Amino acid sequence: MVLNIVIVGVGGQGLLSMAQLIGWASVESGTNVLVAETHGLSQRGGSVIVHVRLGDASSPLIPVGRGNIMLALELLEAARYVNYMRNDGVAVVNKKLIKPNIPGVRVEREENVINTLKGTVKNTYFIDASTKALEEGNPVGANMVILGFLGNMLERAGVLQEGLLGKYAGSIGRGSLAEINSKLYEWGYSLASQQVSNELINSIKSWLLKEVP
Amino acid sequence: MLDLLKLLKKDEVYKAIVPSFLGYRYMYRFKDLIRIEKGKAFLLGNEAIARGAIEGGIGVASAYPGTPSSEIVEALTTISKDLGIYVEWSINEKVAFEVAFAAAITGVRSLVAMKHVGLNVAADPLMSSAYTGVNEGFVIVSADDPSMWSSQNEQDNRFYGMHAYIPVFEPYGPGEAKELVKYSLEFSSKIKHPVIFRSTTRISHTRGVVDLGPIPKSVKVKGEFGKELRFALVPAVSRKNKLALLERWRKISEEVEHCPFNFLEGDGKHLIIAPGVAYSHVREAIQFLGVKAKILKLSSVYPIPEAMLLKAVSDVDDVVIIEELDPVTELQVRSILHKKNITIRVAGKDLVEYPYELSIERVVEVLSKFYNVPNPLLQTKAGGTKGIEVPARPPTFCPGCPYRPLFFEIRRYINREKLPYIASGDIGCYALSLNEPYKLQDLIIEMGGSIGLANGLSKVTDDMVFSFIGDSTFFHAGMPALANAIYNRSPQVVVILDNQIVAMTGHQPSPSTVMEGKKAIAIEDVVKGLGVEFIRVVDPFEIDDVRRSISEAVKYVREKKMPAVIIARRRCALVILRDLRRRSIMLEPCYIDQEKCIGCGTCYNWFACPAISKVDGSNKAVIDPSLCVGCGSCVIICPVNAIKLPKGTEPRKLKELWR
Repeated sequence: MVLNIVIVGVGGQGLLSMAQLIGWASVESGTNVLVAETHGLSQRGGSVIVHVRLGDASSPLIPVGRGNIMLALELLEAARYVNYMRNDGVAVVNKKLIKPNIPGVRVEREENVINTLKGTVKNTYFIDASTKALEEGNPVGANMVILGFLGNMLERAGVLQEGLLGKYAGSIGRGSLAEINSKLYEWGYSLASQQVSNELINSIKSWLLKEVP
Repeated sequence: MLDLLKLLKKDEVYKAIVPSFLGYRYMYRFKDLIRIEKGKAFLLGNEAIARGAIEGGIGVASAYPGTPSSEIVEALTTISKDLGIYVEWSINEKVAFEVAFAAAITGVRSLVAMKHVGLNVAADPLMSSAYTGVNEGFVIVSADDPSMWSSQNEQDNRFYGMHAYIPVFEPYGPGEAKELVKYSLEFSSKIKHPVIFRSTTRISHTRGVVDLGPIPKSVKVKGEFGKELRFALVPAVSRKNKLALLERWRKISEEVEHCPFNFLEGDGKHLIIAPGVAYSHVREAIQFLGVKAKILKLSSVYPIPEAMLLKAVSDVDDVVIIEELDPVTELQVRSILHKKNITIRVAGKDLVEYPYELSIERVVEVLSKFYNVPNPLLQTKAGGTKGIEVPARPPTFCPGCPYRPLFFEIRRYINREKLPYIASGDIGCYALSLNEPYKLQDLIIEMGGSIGLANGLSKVTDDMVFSFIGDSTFFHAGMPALANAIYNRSPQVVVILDNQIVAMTGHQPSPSTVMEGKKAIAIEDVVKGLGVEFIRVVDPFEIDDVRRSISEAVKYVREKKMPAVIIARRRCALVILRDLRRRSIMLEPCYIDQEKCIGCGTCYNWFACPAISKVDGSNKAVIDPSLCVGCGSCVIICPVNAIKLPKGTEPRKLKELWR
């Protein structure tokens, strides 16, 4: 009984905060959780993957091909780690491409990346989270949008207590920043309530019943 | 509560401890927990180790930061005042070791933490500490880094236990880590012998649920030094001490038989031996394979419990040792079985390959071969992509980093002068200048190695040798090397990158950090005191000054055949951003005047700030407002002044804010 969540993106996009908030909300909801983080050298604008495992996991690492949900803050990183995903999984992807900081780097066209992801994972959602975050006044708030999307799914699947993750998200940052974060979370939350079907929520529930992910 | 939620529960009384106690705040920090004595908390493995240390009654803790160990003492610094214990960031691992060891020999429980390669630096006192023993619990935390996520090697520090006659304990996860640190302190206290607590990246940097326990109301923080002869290691004393050490070792070997963190579980005709983190993977791997196994889970990884092993092998057909990195357990198992004339099939490193950390996939693969059952997991490697090319994304300097303009300008100077050079690098964020476009780290060997290697390079080559070293690394191991360079007249340009913090590991103080209660040391004073005659202090954002200083230094080194020192001083961008956030200041991003931009690529190809990229379908540059921090360091590098500060931002005002 394990739910595997793969969080990927570029160092500095707030992936560790996301994982930590999910962890806190899970523990508070009575669910066991393991989060394997990436620190140090790998954080400085490099490629980052964080493994979040809810339930009876004992190993901190998600096996390749066994991820149930991917939260991606950047398109190329989503593509890089997509092989961690089950084909019937869910990928929530920030529609943002950050070119690697290498002179003369060649980067795949955005549509190609999106199509590859669509072709690999059955349920994909592409969200303009960075654009929304910039509009609202927190340039690095895309993580909150994606987190809101997840919050809605996990609450409907009965994994998280209602409202908990949102409260946690809204306590990040000082003063107006916390308000913006809360707003971004709510935006992501409402997107999922419109876009994610009950059928998919039932699938997430059924994954939870399995011995191994 | 929903049924599914119950399914995920580990037990029925699963309740976190947070909001009821803390009131308004939903999330808690490590220090918020010091008055909480039961319940579950969600902690980083390193925080769990720190919690175990305070529950175990330490009076002193010390460390030199290094990934993946840093958060242990970082957590302890946040509670030292409240608990009245002494915690320090020491200048290097050797001194950190000595601080904690001194406490333990005077009867104060202590802990010292470092990364695996840090123990090499502290190896001198480590070896001696086994000869003297201690008077109270002394735990040496070695956080190893299998797979080298942030390190120059993946040495297996369990060998230090073997080498030094010091027992080694290792947990399988964050929850056990807390209990095992407590146990290690007790163990050390009982035997009066130091203990190594080995963690790895996957323990230290995994967050998990930890059961909190009581923290002693008062702990001993003042000791007494009894002036026992055993602490003065002259040959006659050491010879005697060796016999006492061996006697203690006999006790240690007996004591580990009772270690509650070693246990046997499951049944079957196959025995899996799983030390440390391997156990966490093995437990899941046998579920994936659907096989039965008897598991000998070990936390005393050196020495292993002999009687327990013999009992475990008494009714099985074969044994497989699932072990990360080197065959430390395997060597012990084979030796014990051989000694007892037990001939049974033992598999180990013949199946589990030596390099890199373990994963469920690796363990499933090995066990599927061992059990001769199909492997249900995918055979693809991590990080692959179907259909499209994904370029590598190496880590880089953060936007606003003072090192970017510095390396940009030095690279430009070297290219223009066509200077034959060697860039002797070191350990820290500046190691990232290894990559394109700066390429100014030809060697990165160990802490302080930049100046040390330059001492030799400058004697055996005619190239201009540049040594790049950070402020903390300079204090750690650069000072003796620079003294050597002066005394032995070794010509080199030493660039000390003084961002006044240990940036790479998460901003621990360095001796050049100005902070309350500490006496900061100005690097120019140190350098002058060592006898350096050419000293320049520059602001790396002022690239004209950088170029002038480098040019003068090169000339000086050529003429005088002596070392020249340039101190490039500017605070870490992440620290500046943190300070600005605290003042609720958010700087506007810079932008590029598209009319003016001639598409020369200086900014995106040579300056290479992550916020600047090439426009698709043209050579012009564009700044991503979600990545730009508004530091303005790029403005000066544009040959046609197309990079602009945000409208309404005065350069002078920005200089005051971003400093």
